Amino acid sequence: MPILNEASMAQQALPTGQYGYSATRLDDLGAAEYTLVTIVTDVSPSVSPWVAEMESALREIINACRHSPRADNLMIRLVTFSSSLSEIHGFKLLEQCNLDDYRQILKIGSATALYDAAENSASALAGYGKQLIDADFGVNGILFVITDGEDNASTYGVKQVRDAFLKAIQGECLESLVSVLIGVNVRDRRIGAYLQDFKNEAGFTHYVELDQANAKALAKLAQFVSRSISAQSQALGTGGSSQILGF
Amino acid sequence: MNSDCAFRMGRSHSVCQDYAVAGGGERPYVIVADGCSSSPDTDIGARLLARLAERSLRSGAAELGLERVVRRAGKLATHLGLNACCLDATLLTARVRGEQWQVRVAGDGLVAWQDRDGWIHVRVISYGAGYPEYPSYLACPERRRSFEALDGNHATLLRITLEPDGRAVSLPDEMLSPSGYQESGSVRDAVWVALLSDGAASFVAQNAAEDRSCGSASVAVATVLGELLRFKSMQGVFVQRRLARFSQQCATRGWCHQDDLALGAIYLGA
Repeated sequence: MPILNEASMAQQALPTGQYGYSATRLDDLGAAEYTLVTIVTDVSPSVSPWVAEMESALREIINACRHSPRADNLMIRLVTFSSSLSEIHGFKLLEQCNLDDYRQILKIGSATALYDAAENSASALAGYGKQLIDADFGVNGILFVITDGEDNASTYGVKQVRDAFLKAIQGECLESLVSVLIGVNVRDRRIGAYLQDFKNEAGFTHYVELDQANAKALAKLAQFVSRSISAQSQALGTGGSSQILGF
Repeated sequence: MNSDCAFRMGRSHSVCQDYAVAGGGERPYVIVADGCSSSPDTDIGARLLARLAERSLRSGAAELGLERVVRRAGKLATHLGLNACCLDATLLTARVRGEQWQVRVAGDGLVAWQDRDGWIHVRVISYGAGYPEYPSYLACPERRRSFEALDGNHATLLRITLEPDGRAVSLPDEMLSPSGYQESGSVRDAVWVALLSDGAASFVAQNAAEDRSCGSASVAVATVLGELLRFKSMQGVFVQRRLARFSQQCATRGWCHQDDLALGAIYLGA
């Protein structure tokens, strides 16, 4: 059971994989349209030096979204991955996201199940998006997968990630989907090339690379994520995805 | 209980003369007003009438007080420097009072409600020559006499039943009494009650672009309502969601409504 879920949220299984997702029940949704935001962050041991800065970045993102004119039309899901996935909370209305809940929330694990995390996130967006569309809600999605290294623990491969993205895009589950792979603290060119290849092969729409993971870099990342969420939310109803602003 | 509304401009219009309001919490109401396209500033007049009718409903008065609403709207229109004809608009109201839902139609339009077995009952109120009896005539005896002198313009009622399996059954038109159309029922017997402007009967299906010579064909109102009134969920802005999704589907299949379209609905609870 995700630790930050509300009583209004329900667990849902996915046809693929061992992990499902949770989301706010449709009966508890009052708006006409929603942007589904998913933030997926690596909590492998190499991330531990900057985990506090990452939590600070998460709080900045949540806070910025809460002050957005589109705040009532956003839902956020937070997932972490190490050797396995952990859903901190499912698709949750922004009004229910308390900033203080995002302190000491990232628990460092072992290994890096990057592909499983990306596949689950895309599949959950597609699954919940389909439910919303079938209930007449307008819906689009934006996904951020944050990692500092290579996959070494997934049961799935890149092909399954690609299939999940294709289903989300082609399956009439979302009006549009923006997916951003973010490499943090990438100092090894080989890692950068690996992540760029993963972005291309899996079908992410964007790749952003940070060569550091200090407070300043992650604060800038938080601003980028917030602006991107805002842009994608404003694109809802246009039939297309937003133009992602430069990092 | 819940109520919500939405309205959209018709393809042949340059300003939307339909208007709708919804509110009331656990004493919900919806109001739809449809301004006459050949009278000036009826987009404003429709809003004035709807908002003043809303004030009357929110007061909890037993009767809407239509003439009082019209006279107050007339004063506001005069204050704004508008011609009294700006109030040439139909006015449809629905509310829940005690254990009853109540509908009143002044002019033309559509009323629909879904019973607990899933059948949708529709009433289409129209006028033979296309000239609705606007409530604005209550404040102008001369215009009222002109209206009454029109030939072949009696009010008629068309009853349509939409069955859960998609079939539609229509009964022959019947004449309505001059006092206008009213309907009521128990909240226990209905899931929702809805009001629509006559734009719901103005849908056309446009032929392929390469075959423009054939023009477009009317889409039967029963066909339109059979899809438009299939609400998927009843919380929040459920009418806005339904109309937005229906509009997308219409764009895909080449349907459009020539006249403005307004829809308001009250969800009466599980």
